[in-house]
Amino acid sequence: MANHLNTSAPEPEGGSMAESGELTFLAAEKLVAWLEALAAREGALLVPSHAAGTFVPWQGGEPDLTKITMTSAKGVVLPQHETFLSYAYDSDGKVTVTPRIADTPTTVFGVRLCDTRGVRCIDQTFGENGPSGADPNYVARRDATTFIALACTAADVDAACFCATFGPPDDYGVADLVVHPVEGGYVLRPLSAKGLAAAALAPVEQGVPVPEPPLPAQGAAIEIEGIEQKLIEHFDDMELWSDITEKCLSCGACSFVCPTCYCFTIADEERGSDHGDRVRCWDSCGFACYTKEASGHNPRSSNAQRFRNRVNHKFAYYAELYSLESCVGCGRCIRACPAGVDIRDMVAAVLHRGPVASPGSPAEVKA
Amino acid sequence: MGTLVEAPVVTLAEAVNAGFEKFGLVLGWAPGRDGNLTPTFARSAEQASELAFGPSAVYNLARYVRDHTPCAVVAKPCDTRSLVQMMSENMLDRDKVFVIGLRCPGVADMKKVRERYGWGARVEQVGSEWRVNGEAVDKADLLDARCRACVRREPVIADVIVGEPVTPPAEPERATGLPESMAERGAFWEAEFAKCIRCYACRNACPLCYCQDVCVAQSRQPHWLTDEATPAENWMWQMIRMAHLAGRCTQCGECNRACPVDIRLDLLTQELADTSRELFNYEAGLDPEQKPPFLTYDKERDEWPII
Amino acid sequence: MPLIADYKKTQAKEKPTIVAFLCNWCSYAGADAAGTSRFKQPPDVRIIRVPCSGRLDWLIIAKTFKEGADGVLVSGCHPGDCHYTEGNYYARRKLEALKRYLPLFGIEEGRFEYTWVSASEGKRWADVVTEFTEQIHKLGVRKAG
Repeated sequence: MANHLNTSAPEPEGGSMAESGELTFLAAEKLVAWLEALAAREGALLVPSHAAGTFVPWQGGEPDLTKITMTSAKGVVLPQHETFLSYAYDSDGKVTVTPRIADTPTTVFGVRLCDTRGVRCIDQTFGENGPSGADPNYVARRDATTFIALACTAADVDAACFCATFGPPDDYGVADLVVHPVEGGYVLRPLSAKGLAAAALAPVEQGVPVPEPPLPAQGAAIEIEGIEQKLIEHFDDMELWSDITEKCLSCGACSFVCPTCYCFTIADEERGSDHGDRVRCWDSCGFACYTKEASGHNPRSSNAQRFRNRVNHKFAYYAELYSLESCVGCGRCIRACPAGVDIRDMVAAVLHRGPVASPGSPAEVKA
Repeated sequence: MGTLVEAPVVTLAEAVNAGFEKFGLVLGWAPGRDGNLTPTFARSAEQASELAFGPSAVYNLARYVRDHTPCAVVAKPCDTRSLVQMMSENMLDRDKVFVIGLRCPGVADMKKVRERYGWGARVEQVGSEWRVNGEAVDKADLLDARCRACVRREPVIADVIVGEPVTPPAEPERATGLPESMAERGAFWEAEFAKCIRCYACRNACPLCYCQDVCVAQSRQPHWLTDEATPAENWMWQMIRMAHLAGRCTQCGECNRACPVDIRLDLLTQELADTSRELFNYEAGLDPEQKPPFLTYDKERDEWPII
Repeated sequence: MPLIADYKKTQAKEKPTIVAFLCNWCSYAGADAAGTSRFKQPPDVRIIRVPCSGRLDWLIIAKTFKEGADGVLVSGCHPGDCHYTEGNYYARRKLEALKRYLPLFGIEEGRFEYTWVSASEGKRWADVVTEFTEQIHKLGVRKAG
């Protein structure tokens, strides 16, 4: 993934240019000044908003940095809806197609490490090394985005977080710059050229020793040892899947708040009698019509099948393809679910399930 | 409004046993991972014995009944209204459901509980007080908004009744927060609908949204709206829901609770109920024989000023 | 700031957009009669013909507003005279309810009206159009921000 140095960044005031990896200290009262400098750059500066449940353009003042947002930061690089291309017919019936690539430079301040690890998951599929090659729209946004991650403290972690399951505290994902809250302010840790450029704008303190920040706080890990194999073994165990998914309402709340879910639907939308757009929007494997085919046949017509797919994707298929679970343990799905579904319960139920007696399971067929 | 229903008053355990014996399946709530109640489908005597009621029993189980009949269901008064509405629409056979009607002192606003005490905070009723993580709390403060607006604490339909009689509040508290002026209202809803991610949790949690996977909002033919979650499209989505719930919605409050981004759907359902009451003197979910107001007319009485 | 699909288009407007849904049998014929009788009326209203006022549901009118209409009028046969006997009885309930519901969203009272115009009431149609157009011009184009 190419990292672009923002060559239009203004000369930093006061502070010195940080070397790659060199930590600097920003006093708490200087945070807004830093945001002003970031906002003055070309493009957008986004900060978390609890009122909106997502990241919004900074309007000035201290951003609310308590707790994680309800929805994740994935919308910055994979927005809920985007136009791929526009088409227009002229009076002779000739059609012109215009590709639409959005590459406005964007700085997102205050994402969490679960967000940056989530984007890493999505990079596997949509990035340059993805199975179908780079997704041009995704890569354009991704290259133009600077992720400034806020490290979690104990106050930010709650009982729905379980991120320790998937990596150590200092796994910073795709963060360009990590901001560690410490006594009196923040320690800045640049991790890329984009991160350096952002850190360079911070009015950091000169000549003071930079405290070593504590490791970011994490949510308690769950047991996932052997989950991949167990999921494959129990693929046809519909009694298990019907039982543990019965209260699921089949909405899309979990997929849409998830930092790693990336499924989408594409539709051509007429905007007038002679022009329109091809639009990509988020889709959820939980929706009943997700796998509905033009013939009317639906391979996943039951909720149990759909949820089985969700858990398998996250803990088996992705792990097999990329050696990475497609889950970062942020707990957003747990908080968002209106029916009280908890993916940790699903995982535990599968791990503790006894051997399958039913014939025809993939494991048996292979043997 | 609504008649007090005649049914034997029993304990929850007796009620659950009776339901289990009749149909072998009881839809209720049992403690989950964090100790709070969660929807549970009890198919064994052991599972049935874990069913309980308390301030965290916020889920309207009527939503699950239509795919699980014949069954027994534990239902708060608001949930029983959903059951009655489903019966009045021929979506539920009375003899295929055993209704365990609860007398209800109200449930907690779990979003508020978790905001204040953290995720995993356990709320329970001990005696007449509510406790969070074992400490007594101000019940009035944590009471769910839909319970503040509730005028009845008795089930409107039941095979058996559970609980002590509860005095309904003297003055139900309506949902507030809608700006007064038109210009401000436009801006208010623009901001609310900007939050919507079109997850359809509101639709999927609703006991009366039967269409689910063939919902007109996700169809290409007719194509009322796109999947783009812009304020205008999201408003159109809620207009579809409100149009299809007009005269039917029982204000159970599940859509409002289900929304992961806290859109003020309670203001929309409240207005629907007000309109129904003002125009047709009609309240949904009270009488299985009632005909929904938009499926009928009254030639003499339906007369309003026109230009 | 009422909810409109394309603010750029609506902000460029000088005149409000007014859409009227007319039932084929009475109101559309009445509007036609107004035309052939050469009654004076403002030309702003854009008419869409439907078989019966009972065909309309909330969504058609909601979508019309969403796409940027500043005023929507519905006209059908007088109650009791519906070509399909009872279509307008159902319409009357739906439309009155919608009329009371739209102000919840900031769509001011007066932007949505429904009325009854028969096939012989050309003059009445001209009067209704004139009154409604004036009403909408007074309310103006629905603004953003």
